[in-house]
Amino acid sequence: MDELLEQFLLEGRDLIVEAHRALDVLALNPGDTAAVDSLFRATHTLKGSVALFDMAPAETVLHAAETRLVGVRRSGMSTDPELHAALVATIDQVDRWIDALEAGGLPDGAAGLGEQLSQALSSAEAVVHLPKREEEEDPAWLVQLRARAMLRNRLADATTAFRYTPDSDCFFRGDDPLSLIAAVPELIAVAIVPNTDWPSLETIDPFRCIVSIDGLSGAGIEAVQAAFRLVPDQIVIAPLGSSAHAPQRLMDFGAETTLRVDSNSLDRLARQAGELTVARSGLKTLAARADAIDSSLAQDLRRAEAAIEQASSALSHSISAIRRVSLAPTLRRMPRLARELAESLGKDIGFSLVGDSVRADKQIADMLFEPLLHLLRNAIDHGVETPEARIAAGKSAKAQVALQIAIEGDRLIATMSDDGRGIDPTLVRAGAVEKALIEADAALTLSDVQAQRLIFLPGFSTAAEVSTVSGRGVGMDAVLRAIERLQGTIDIHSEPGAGTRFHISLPVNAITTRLLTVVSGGTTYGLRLDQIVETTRIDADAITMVGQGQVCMIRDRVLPVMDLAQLLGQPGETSDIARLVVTEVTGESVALRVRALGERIDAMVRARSGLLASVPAVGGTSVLADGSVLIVLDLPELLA
Amino acid sequence: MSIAIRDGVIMIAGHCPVEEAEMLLVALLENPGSGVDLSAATRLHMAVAQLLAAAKPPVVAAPRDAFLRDMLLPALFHLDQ
Amino acid sequence: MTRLLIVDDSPLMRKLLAGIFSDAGDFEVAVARSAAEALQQLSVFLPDVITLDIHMPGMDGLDCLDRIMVEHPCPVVMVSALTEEGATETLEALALGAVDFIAKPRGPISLGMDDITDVLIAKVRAASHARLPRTKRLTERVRLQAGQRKFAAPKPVAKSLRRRSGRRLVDIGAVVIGVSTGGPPALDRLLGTLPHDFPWPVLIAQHMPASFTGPLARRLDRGCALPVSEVTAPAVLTPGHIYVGRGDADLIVSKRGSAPMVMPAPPGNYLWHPSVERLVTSAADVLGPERLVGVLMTGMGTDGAQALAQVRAQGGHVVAQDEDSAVVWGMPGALVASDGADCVLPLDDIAPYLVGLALG
Repeated sequence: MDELLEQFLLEGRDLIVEAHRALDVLALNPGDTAAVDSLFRATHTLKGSVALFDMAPAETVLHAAETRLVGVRRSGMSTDPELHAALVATIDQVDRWIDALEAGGLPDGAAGLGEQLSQALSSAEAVVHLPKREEEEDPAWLVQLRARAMLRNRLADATTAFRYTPDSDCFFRGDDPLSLIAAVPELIAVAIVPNTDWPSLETIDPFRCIVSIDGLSGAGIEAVQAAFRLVPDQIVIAPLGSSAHAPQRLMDFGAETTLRVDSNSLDRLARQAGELTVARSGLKTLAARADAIDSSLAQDLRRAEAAIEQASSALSHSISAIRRVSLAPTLRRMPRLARELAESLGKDIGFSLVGDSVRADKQIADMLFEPLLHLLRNAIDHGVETPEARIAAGKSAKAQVALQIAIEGDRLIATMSDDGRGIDPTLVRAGAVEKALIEADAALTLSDVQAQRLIFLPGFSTAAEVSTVSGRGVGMDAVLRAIERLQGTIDIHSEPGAGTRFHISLPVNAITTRLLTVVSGGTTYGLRLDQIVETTRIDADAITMVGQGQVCMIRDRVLPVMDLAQLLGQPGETSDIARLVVTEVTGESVALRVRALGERIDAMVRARSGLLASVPAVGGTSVLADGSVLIVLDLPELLA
Repeated sequence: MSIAIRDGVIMIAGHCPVEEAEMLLVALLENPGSGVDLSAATRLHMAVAQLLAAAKPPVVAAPRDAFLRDMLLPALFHLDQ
Repeated sequence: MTRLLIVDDSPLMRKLLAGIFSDAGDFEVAVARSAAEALQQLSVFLPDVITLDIHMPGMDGLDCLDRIMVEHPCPVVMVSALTEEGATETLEALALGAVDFIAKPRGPISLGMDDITDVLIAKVRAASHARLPRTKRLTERVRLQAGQRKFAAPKPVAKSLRRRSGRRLVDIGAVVIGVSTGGPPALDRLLGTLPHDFPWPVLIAQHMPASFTGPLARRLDRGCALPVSEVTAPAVLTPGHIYVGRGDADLIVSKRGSAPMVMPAPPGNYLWHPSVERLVTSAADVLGPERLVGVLMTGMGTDGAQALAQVRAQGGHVVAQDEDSAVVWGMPGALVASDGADCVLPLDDIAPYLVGLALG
């Protein structure tokens, strides 16, 4: 059979070359169907060939690759950067394994590596294998395992703990999980736990495995791993150290280690990736200029730009993923602080925290605590009534304050709600006038929602007395500013008598920002795309004067129209066609009139600094492809 | 046949392979409340064991086999479930 | 000597297959590197049987198969990957006229491949003697030339059961069908002529790998007035439902209380899966042999013959497909030899026979 091996070495390497050729084409043109077909065929044939030799991991990864390619072919979609990267890694690895086979066989750990690659292929997210968590804490399964009645008294004797979750389909493959358990060396105790509640006997499927097995062994981790070597995907193993904070070690893939990185280096990396994104768009401008001279050169430039874009977006993606940390450490103190505050103020509070395990960019996790703590203090101090007042108002003596955190798409949503007295717009108007924050007649023109937002004005406080808890000057304006620094928005939903809900929306990732460029009064500005609801153009005649202001109809809704140039102290637009950008950042829809709508770009927005720091309405700056500086407007501030 | 009913007790004996899970399930359903005698059992497939854990019938006689008696039996009937 | 043409673009696979069949002693082997080469070889080498890879650059296996069936009708065995995609392509090839399929050989050569080679040789040898359903292929070819290749089989018009006054449907439990080589197109044909109000459940054990039975059930469902599904979890046996046993596993009948159930079971100690023996035995245990109609159809081997002969002896109805309409008359032949069949029928007469029984 040596002859077959020789044949394979030749043919296998040819197929690798063929696959790489196709991948090269796909790097430039992800939608090239001929390249996808050719890659599929090479992968398919290669899979068939490796199956004949002692290289099961190669078959596993090639199967995963083939499955993804079938999906790509069927959907007619293109290969995204993550998939492309995973495919390149797969083909490279198979190439190395072919070399290894020639040299005598696959190295130890090939199976683990194969699993890892297959996972990367099946879920694009897994391309970058992330450290599990920052804190050196037991994983959830180990916490559960330690608490099991069958096991907790035996922990002292054990060196290794494991959880074996057999595939529900495993009986059909001839597996008997119990015989594997029986073969675990120095087994001390096991617990058999249903994966969900036990079904009734009438509905149970006797041939489907519905349990996990938690167990303890006196043997070392390697010996226990060896017993489960055939089911690496269904097992987690951890050594039981002397302390509860012994570093966890899941049975994972040989070479993988968790690398601790100074967060400053990570910030720097993120910044550089952002700069790369900006630099990339420079090529686009170049290509446009080259078009006038040599269109084939322009074509090549565009292709190069696309390739860099793929790589740079994959890079940004990976960095974002690495930067995402759990909010749990940030928020861990909240419940305790809520209890302490309530006690000092003589209030009866039930505080609930949901979603603290949500992951968000490190910067957000770091900066979110302060504004949330402000909101919590406000809720307990001003929002919630005393037990006596609550009973008088027909409410339960115990007030509820809840902080709820969730991910919606690429936004992190934090909601702080209380069932207290709510924010009375009339009182807010009066307070703002009294403090000379607003003219009395201007206050009357504000809608209730706008009036409630007055609490975000510097120096505003609704409580009659200055309390030690909220203090003076640390008002809601600080909250607003902190949220806006994180490129977030905050809304108030409040019903007098029933309670208040602050709704904060933040980006989960904070590296680049999607901007829309607009021209107004001869200058180009950037507007954050997530603050824009829509853009539209209407006849200028359709804008009518109402009192002091202008309004227009957009899809049966009457919107106030404000001229961006005028807001910035310049003459307004006069063209026949009005170009409008609709925003809802202030809680109400407003149409901003601009001279021209530009393009959508990904840009890194720097916080305003230096001279600009004192200019209101400037949210930050971004350096454009051609080197010019784009002023990014802060719509909430501009319209406030 | 290693699953049988004798005097209202489900007898589980010898090596019980996967296909006997279905027989055990039918036996458990048709004889609600009856005990199981595991004294002669030497090896149980996971499919058989998980049925015992789900049904938790009274154990009339414990297995003599050390693994089944000391490891499996407590695991099937412990409180974590 | 059997003249075998191996068509595969991979030199490794050609070498491996050629080695396996040459060693078997009764094959004269030729190879073709592409579909085009294969078509040239047809009139020169005059093969008795062809093994054909599906994925080849240039003309792919399905197009090649199509040309073979037109230019030099000859038994073709597809070399398939055991994937969902492979299953769909293979079922299409069977509908186009391929006799059978084999899984691409795999498993370390160093560990010896004797298990696999035995099956390969047995399947290809059986295929070389297979009868090609020429007339059926003709009508399909007409349909193909009309430009509809994929799944264009018109939904057969199955007449409704005409219930004659005063006669009621006989209360039979279930129809059990065992089938192997040549099965998918035959099932397509049989099930396609069952009327929508056929009153009994139909349980099918079609020997196949696991990844094939899902696509098979979906394909059959498209051509049948009754719902067809693969059994992937226990289900209450429902009249008028057609159950396809999951591949590489067995299909058994059991009960929960008084309700008969059909469920997949891990493969037991049988040679072929889903096992016809095990299906028939469990169905007879739970429903009673006298309430069964057994049908044993085209396929090599003897699976099901013994259990069905017993069903007949105990009062059930048993039908064997006849030799002329079967691609391989192994299983039905064994049943007939053991005197286990009430009647031996051509494929097209089986559905009317079942309908006749239903009318009582």
